[in-house]
Amino acid sequence: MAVTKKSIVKTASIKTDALKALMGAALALPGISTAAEQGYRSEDIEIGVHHSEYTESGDRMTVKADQLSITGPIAQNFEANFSATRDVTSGASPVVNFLDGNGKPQQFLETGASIKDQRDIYEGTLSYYGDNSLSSIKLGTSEEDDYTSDYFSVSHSIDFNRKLSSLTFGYGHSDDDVWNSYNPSVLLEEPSIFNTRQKDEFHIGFGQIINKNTTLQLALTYVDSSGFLSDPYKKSFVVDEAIFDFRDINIDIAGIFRFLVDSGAIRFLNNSGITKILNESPLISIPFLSENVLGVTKDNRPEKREQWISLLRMSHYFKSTNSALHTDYRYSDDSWGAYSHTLEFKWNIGLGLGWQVSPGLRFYSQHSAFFYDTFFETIPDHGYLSSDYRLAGFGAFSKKLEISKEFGRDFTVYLHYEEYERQYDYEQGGQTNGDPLDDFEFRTFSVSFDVRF
Amino acid sequence: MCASKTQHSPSHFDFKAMGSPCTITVYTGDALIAINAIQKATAEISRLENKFSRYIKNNVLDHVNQAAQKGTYVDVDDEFISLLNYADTCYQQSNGLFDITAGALRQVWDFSQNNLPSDADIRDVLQHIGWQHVKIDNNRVHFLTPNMELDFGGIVKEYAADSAANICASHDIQHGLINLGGDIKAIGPHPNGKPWQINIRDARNPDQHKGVIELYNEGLATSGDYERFIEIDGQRYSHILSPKTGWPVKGLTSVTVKAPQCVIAGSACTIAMLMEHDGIDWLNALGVECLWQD
Repeated sequence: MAVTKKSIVKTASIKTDALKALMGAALALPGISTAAEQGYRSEDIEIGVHHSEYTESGDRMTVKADQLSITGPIAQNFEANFSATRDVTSGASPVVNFLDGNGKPQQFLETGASIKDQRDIYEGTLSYYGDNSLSSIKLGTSEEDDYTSDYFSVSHSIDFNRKLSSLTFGYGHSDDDVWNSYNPSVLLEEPSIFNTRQKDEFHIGFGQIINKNTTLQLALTYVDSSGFLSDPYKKSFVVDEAIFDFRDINIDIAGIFRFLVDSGAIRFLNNSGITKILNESPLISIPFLSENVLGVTKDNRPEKREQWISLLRMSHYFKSTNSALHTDYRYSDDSWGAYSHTLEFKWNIGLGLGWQVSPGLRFYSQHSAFFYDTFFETIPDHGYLSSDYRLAGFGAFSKKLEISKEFGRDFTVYLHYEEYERQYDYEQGGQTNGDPLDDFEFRTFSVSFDVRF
Repeated sequence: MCASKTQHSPSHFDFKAMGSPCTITVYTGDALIAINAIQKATAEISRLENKFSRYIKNNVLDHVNQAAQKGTYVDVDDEFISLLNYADTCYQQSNGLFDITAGALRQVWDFSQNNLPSDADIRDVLQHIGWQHVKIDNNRVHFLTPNMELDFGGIVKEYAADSAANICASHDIQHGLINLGGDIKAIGPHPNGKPWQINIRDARNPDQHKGVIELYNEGLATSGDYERFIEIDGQRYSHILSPKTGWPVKGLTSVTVKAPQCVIAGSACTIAMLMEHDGIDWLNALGVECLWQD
């Protein structure tokens, strides 16, 4: 009689190349892939390297970011992800709008040395793949010269109705410390402040597979921010706060400031140490003088902000062109009044041989915050004011293109390009506070490599 | 609602498909769910049998084999292409031993007759065997030489077990077993939460068990010379034919393999049989649990 022998592989989770190849081909079989497509954990270790460059028009900001991310299976049902990101921001961003000789606001960027900020972000996520559920917890921290943020989030999704429907619940919290990296050698800098802000986020989502080719997603997110929500670098020009109304005496403050910047006078004050001496002198307070002589007033926003963000997403797969069209509509309601509409289209087209091309379009329209204006005649009764362009009324149009190519089953390269154009008069449904002076454009280009083992 | 108190009672359904006795067993507290799942799963199995069986005339495989016979091309659907891609992966991973074009050897080997084919006949058929003579271009399959024949043995029955198991799972079955003539796919664990205990029969003494393999949502398949063979002058000739020599393989009596999917278990045990004495080393290198007799 033949002898029976048994060979047991103890580490079933470690897949050899041959088994991975067979798994990959088996999971492409339609009878197997239908169950595999939703929420099945990858058995591979995936390492991603990502680099992106963001450039604003008009010599404003550029951001260069690098990210390393690693994802891998743990035990039977867990998956862990860790990512580290470093981005470096340089250039200048708008600080205040001064009035010119005609009483029109003109934008001023940082007056001193241009900024160079480095931000480091570390994030870890642990996910648990249950039979009909996916749970995950994320911890993260972000550090800059003048900002730290510690955050966590949890989410739980369950599939039901024979995996045709899913419900997702999520909660996130962040604790941030905000201060300004005060440089006494730079004119118009505020003395150091230290403040905190908190954010709580609640999320509920519902997904429904309508048929083989169409899925629908609805999600509602509530964001509650509180604490110091102002920007310590931004100022507003308030006519009443200045020593006199420069328009009455035909003084072009904007022109004077532009002259001081362009002639190098401010750079001379900063570089020679005169600004530092003035700032450190107990007799003179430049912030006090600039507020009470020039009317340059600190950005001051409410200490609470509530946002309700609703999302409707429809995805449809077109078999004839092997492509999928994703349409998103997002409405964000805001207790600050900066509510917005976003309409976005993304079309993923599979070209075969591992190539995928995804053109996309996004349109965004925002109402101005109730305490926003390009400049103020007087401090409003509620006491809040900001001339931060991000709180203005405006519209923006983005064009995107993403190209990816898979090499075998193990290596994927992504290229991503985006052009963004912000215009005051793109705002839909009547124009609110804002001005073309804040119009700008940016481009981002990014490249990513993903390797699976 | 308390899931742990749900009474899971088994529902069995025995039927014959793909030339083998088959059983679907599902455990659920709701008989309607069980009936619905079993109906959908058996419909899937018969769909795949009708599409890919070599014994059915005018089915999809027959149309493809008519093109193979003529040495022309034929357009097929995505499922067919994905099975060909799977077969291609098996061919690559077995250094050409697992070759679905070896189906042409059926023209000279008839396991219902106790006759051996002649060397000349075998040599003749071998000229028309070789996966390298098949080219796939999007959904079109080109046969570069005539008199070819595809045979999805070691793939389709196992794929049907996987697909049936997935259909049961998508119809709210959390515990069950699909058994298509010994090709088994488990749905989840046993209702007691532990892995399924599968007794493996002795190849030469079918009444005896030779061991147990535990399954948790995994697949199991067996390849061996006890199922179909010819015995001439006391010599057993296995039904597993080598695409290189055209003769039945020697070496292993039977191999049982456990893998994440039944289709992988099925092709892995067939490849091990084709590799003869190197088969077990290959399975060990693949990293799968197996049970064998040599």
